[in-house]
Amino acid sequence: MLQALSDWLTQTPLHEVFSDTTRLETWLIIPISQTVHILGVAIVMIAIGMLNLRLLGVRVTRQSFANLSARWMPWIWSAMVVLFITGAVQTIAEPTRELMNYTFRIKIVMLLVAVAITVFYRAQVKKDAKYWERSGERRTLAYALASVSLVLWLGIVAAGRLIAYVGTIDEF
Amino acid sequence: MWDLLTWIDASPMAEEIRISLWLFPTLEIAHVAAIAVVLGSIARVDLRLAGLVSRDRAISEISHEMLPWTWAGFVLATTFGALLFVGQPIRYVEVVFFDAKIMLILLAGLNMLQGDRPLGPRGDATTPSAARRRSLLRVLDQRRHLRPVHRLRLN
Repeated sequence: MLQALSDWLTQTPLHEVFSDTTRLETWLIIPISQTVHILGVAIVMIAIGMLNLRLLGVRVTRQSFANLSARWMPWIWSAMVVLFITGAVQTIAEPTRELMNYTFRIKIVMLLVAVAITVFYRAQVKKDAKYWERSGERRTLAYALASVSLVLWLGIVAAGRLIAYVGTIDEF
Repeated sequence: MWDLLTWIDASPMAEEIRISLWLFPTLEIAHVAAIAVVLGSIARVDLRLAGLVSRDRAISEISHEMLPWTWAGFVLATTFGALLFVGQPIRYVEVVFFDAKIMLILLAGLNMLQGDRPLGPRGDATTPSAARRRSLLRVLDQRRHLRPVHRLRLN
């Protein structure tokens, strides 16, 4: 399925433009896209770092988790949109490099899980600001979610870089 | 200078970084992750200085919150960056973007030298005028005088 998607992307006019390295203005598309992508990563990393460490009880800020997450969520989602667009540009430019790479696939799966965790712990404090402090069990769950989330986000950044080195699926 | 670079290039460490299959990618991952932390934490303080985010919170508080992130990220990014450099010093120096990057980091360092303390005393709710002058985004900052706070709600 991903092979088919990759093949199809290779035939699109956008792929033609994004992967054209013979003209300066199209050659610049990928480096610019990568730069913007990293700026998006910077925003998400700080936001996620603060949120998860706060949930783990580290005194990174005086604000409550509910307060902190309310402030940061719009930034996380905006950055995610930018990351998706720039990531899509890079994938359309080199479909085989991304889609046909195990590291890329692992990255996307980790991303989906990490986003689900973020949505989940945010949704709880939206209903009840002190949700994660109400019982020992909830506190334990909050610790677990925050730890897994931190590891996943670091893994996502690592996988993003590793795509360039490992995981290519050989074509038959 | 050139002798030094040649010496680094020929060192066993450089050799190891070049031939190892995992060393370079690992250093690069750590370098990029640390850069993300530096950029994100600086953006947060600068955007607050510019009056674009968290206007209901004191600059001094946000600055105190972010400074450990910036320093930790910077130390890690520099350490791993230096190791990446050791692998192919001559190649890097010959690339104009690398030289420009180092110059820009030094300039940013000069900016940090006058701003390495957290901005303003802890708990001070006003924008310290020195901090405002220091902000590279101070042009944007002027807008706060032109627009009522409630009409500029970016966060």
